[in-house]
Amino acid sequence: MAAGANGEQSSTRERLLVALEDLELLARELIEVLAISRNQKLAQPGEESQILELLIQRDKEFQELMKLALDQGKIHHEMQVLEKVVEKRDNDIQQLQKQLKEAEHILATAVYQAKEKLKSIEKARKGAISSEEIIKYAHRISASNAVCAPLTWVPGDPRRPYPTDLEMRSGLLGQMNNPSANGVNGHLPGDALAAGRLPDVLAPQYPWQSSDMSMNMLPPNHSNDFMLEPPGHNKENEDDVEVMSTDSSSSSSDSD
Amino acid sequence: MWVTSIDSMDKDSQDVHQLLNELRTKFVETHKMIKTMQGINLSPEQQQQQLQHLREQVKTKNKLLQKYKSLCMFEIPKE
Repeated sequence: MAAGANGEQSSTRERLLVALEDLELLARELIEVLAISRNQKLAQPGEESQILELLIQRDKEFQELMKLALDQGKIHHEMQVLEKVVEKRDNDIQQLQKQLKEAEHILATAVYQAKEKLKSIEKARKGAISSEEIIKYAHRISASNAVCAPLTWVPGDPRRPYPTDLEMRSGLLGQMNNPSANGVNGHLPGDALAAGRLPDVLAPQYPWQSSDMSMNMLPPNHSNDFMLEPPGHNKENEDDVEVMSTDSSSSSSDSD
Repeated sequence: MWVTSIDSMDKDSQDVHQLLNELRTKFVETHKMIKTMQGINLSPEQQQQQLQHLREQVKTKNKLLQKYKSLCMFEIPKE
């Protein structure tokens, strides 16, 4: 009989199955004993009653185990509910963690950008240039027709909204190409060299005008306009700026 | 049931056989029922331990959630 094999740590299912097996075995034994005793007409009341007692005892244990199993079933249901709650909480926590990560990322980006801004502010503070100076320089650029042709511009007028070859070559870029060069000879564009005009006079001359004409076509105040200089601080330059700025502003009125 | 079956053994062996078959069927059905019953895979002690563990888990996770929610000071745009 397997009744004694039930340990405390074995599952209730196992214990129930063992108890059921015992019951089945005892019942079979009892029936066999009863049948034999009937057939052989032998009275063995002691064995029958012993088996019957065992059967009743085992049945009682089985009933108790069934009650226990039902209780465990209820607990199992409760555990299932708790497992669902745990799963839901896990999802909530994961969602919150994800959002916190996103927030961290956004904040890190913002901090980085703020630091970059602070750096550029600091840099700007160190190399501060007064706005007046920049405006003056801008006036000078616009007054020299470097960005916009005068309204009275006609073909042949050298006052163009772009630098001439000469101006380009006298600028920084031109100097960079040939720092050791004396003047612009040897670095002129093919058409200018072919024309053979510029090497003689370092001033642009075109077929439709003479050098005198080109100078005469300019207003008197524009004689130095092509010579762009970085914003310096001599009195003469400042006067020029004043004159040019008025010219620039008056250029639109000239057309009226 | 047993007494009845013994008595009827003399009278009608057919009845006895039927009763014994019924008994066997009942044992088989009970066996199947025990196999399908839920929540009896563990001993009561082990089940109680697991139940306590689950309760603790729920408690801890609730605390953690509460902590996270109290930390969140920014409004998160809903998608």
